[in-house]
Amino acid sequence: MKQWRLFAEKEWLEMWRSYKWVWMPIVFILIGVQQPLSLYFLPDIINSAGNLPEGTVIEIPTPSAEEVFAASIGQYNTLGILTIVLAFMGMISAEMKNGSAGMILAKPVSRSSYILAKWFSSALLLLCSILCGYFATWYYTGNLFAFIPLKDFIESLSLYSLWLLFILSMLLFFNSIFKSQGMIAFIVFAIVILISMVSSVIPEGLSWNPSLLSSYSGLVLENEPFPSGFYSVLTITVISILVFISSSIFIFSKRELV
Amino acid sequence: MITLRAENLKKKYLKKEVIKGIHFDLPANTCIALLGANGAGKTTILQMLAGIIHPTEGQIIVNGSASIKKRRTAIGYLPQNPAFFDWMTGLEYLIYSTRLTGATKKAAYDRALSLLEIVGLGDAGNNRIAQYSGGMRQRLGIAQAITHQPDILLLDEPVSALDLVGRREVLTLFQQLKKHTTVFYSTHILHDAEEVSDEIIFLDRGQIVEGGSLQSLKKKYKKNKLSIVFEEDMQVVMAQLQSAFPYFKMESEGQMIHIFSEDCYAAQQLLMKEVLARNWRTLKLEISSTSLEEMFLKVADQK
Repeated sequence: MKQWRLFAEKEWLEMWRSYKWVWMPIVFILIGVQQPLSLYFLPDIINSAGNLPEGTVIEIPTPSAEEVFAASIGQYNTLGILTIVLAFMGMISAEMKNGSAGMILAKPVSRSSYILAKWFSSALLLLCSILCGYFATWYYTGNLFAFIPLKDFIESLSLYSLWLLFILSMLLFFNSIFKSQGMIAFIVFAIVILISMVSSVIPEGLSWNPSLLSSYSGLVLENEPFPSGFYSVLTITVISILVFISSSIFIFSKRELV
Repeated sequence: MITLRAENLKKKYLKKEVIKGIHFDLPANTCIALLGANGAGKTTILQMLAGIIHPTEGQIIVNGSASIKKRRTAIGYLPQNPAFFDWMTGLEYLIYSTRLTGATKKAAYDRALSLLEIVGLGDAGNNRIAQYSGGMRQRLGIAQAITHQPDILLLDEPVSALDLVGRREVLTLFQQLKKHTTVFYSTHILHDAEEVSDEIIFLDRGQIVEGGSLQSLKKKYKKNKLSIVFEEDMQVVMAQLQSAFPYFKMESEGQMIHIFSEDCYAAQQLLMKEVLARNWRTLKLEISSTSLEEMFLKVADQK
């Protein structure tokens, strides 16, 4: 327990000193607010473009706050996930590669504490970043369109956070196996793209697909009833996260550290 | 007393046997050098002892136990190219390492400060490790390996990257550590091994080819040598000497002739008589024993 705390403290200190705690929330805020801002100013932007023939009438229906927010979630699904993969693709492999992990883990310390501390510290940063981003998006959407009820906001945030934690756990898992960051990023991207594609092509057929969480986090804003597969997706995602973490511990404990 | 015993240690990489079943004992409170050329398998052995990689076969027994957990507590390890968290200061890294092995915050702080003094980094403790020179990193590496006062200290090429002053300091540090720690270190430089170690293990292509105390090895491989430098036609000299003294082993090297003999002074008497009788001109006469370097080459050559 004590080692776990020391490992986690070291991670947080490292994230502070490398400014991860600064840039990640900022990136998530920028990704989020970009949608409400650009949708709000879209008519002005088109008008000021100026190369339209005289007398052109453009009528753009004002999108609803829910649509704007859902569009932001769509941005998180591409740029947000890209940021997460880039930020955490070396969470263990970087230390393995340069040898600093080998030096620390040759000491009488527990490798499972090491893995758990990595996951928790990264998860905390990730959750803070998505919270900042979600909140900023909510604020801008509220001021420019309409405020989304807090309950819907929290539900959507929780579902989306769970989806991101799933991706983080996948990153942890492949970090416990491979040493090449490029390889890890590639595999995780490939899996995310694959399961997202499957869920958009046959959304009802596979009710276990964790990537459905991102569409559910848009759906809860519309106050629509949960689709039938909602709880199985939730269960499967939580179980996968636990499986990823425990198998990371299992694999990493047996692994040679060079 | 034996602190560490390696039994039939083997390591295979993709069917290639890198370490070929070796046995050795490390007695308590001694300084033992693992000597070998590059690629002999020194690093692999140290990594196996440190528990970083697993032996394909065989076992490692530390203080009578084969448990890897107990081994980790008993061992301090410094890899060949120590990698730290460069964004930490030297002091922070030592406090972190000490606390990881169970010390309280206050105790870890005190221990870290005293360790910095011991390895001669007292002034640099508050600098970021990124700014450290190669020698300073090596010394910080030794400090982090002894934070939990291990019984055995494993060091992979600890002095190879150091300059003369740094090397001297580290070797002196070994002398102090030896009082209550077994120091086992690898090196490819004979001179370093000769200077501080009590015992030497020679490694060649994954096998131990020779081992023992420095004195006994020196005795075993010592050969006296009489060298004479001539100002004559060497082919003539060599041929005549060889026929006059067929029972001496001789080698010529440029204008020099080496004669190997148990009793060099007796050989000198005989040879000088011959030289004077033939009126040869000589420049230099020297009696020496073979150096460890030659012994090293000889040992590696045998197998």
